[in-house]
Amino acid sequence: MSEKFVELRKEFLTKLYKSTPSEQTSRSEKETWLEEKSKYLGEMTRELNEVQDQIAPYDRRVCMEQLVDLTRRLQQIRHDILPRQPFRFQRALHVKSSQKPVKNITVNAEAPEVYFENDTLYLANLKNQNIGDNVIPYPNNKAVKVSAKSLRSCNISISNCSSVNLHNATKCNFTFPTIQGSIHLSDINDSTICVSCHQFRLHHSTNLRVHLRCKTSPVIEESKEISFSYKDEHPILDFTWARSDPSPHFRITSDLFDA
Amino acid sequence: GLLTILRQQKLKEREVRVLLLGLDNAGKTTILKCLLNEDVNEVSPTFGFQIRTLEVEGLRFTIWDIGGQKTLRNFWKNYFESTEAIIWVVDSLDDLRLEECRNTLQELLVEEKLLFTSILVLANKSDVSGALSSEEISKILNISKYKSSHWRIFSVSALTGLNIKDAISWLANDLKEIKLGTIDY
Repeated sequence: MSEKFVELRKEFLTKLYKSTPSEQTSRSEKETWLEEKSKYLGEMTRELNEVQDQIAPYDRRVCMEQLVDLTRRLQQIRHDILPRQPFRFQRALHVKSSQKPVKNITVNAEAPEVYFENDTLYLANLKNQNIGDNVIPYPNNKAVKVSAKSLRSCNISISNCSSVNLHNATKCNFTFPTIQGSIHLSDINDSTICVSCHQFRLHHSTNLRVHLRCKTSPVIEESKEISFSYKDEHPILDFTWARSDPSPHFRITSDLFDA
Repeated sequence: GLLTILRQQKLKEREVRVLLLGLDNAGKTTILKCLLNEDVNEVSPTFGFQIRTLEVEGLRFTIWDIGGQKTLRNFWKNYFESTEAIIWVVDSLDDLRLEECRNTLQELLVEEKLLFTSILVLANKSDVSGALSSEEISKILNISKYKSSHWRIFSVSALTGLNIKDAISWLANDLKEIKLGTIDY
């Protein structure tokens, strides 16, 4: 029984958190969803009651405690998604609502962004752009964090960085001669990267030329056709290649940047 | 004899199994090294896992530091058995992956074997300029949706040791409360 109870409880929790109605869901749909979950809980309680003579007192107590916990979680969700409506007289329903209609605000997801805030340079949705140190308002070459996504055919060069996060770039050139911390790259394709950093992480990328200096072992995952120019002592680790022979996903060459 | 059994029982009460988890490059191993007063400058990516023990506030922590690379995350579930606490490490500088971090953590929080664990969230690298505050991270991770108590977030730095001792002391005291006091989830 206790195994079955564990399964039921897991299923209930998954349903409870994975399919929680969003704010946009109508009140009636939320009520139906909550009613379903209450019924499920009722069913679990009934099943436990039916077999309670057959299970050990300790197991019974644990199961009961867990049921109480589940009920509390459901109540919390009910409280969050379906707060009790404030009390008002029935007549008030006839009074015309004075609420103004909310304007539909359309946000252009593709709007290019270049801005500097909280020591961080944010770049997004750029095409054919050259970004250098001139966008950073600090006169004393202080280290900044770089956070960039969705770049096409751009040249990015920042001389002093604390850390760099790049996501989704194609046909770009990146130059970061000093990164005090880590560089994390994901979804980068057909690009050139020239970087000196403490930690190097590369995920889901293809066809890159990387000139790298790194103080710890660089890590690549789910990437292929990566050419490294790399001479440091710590080996490059490919976490998607567990075999002892060399990974086919990357190669180390010395003549990458000679031209 | 009886005395040996009692002694063993007493020892068991003091032992805590803790999982040290988080996305790759969050700084899990560096935090562990900082707790053990080891050199934090020579840290390499964790291929697999390592186990270390640590005495905190009279409790004996057995800390399982498990690699956070995407390919290793599927193996995390093998370590959930009899875990009493999770130290979840977040890279405060990595704003692009906070959503991934939130989803991975929330998957853990609904795991049957981890429902009654204490959660200590460490927002690491907070000493570096551009780091997000613990309030911002807490808002994005939205842990309170899953857990009403027995969790807390601290802004820390494994490199400088900032707040690390306070955070681990909180965890030890919280576990003492659960183990020795009344259990209230």
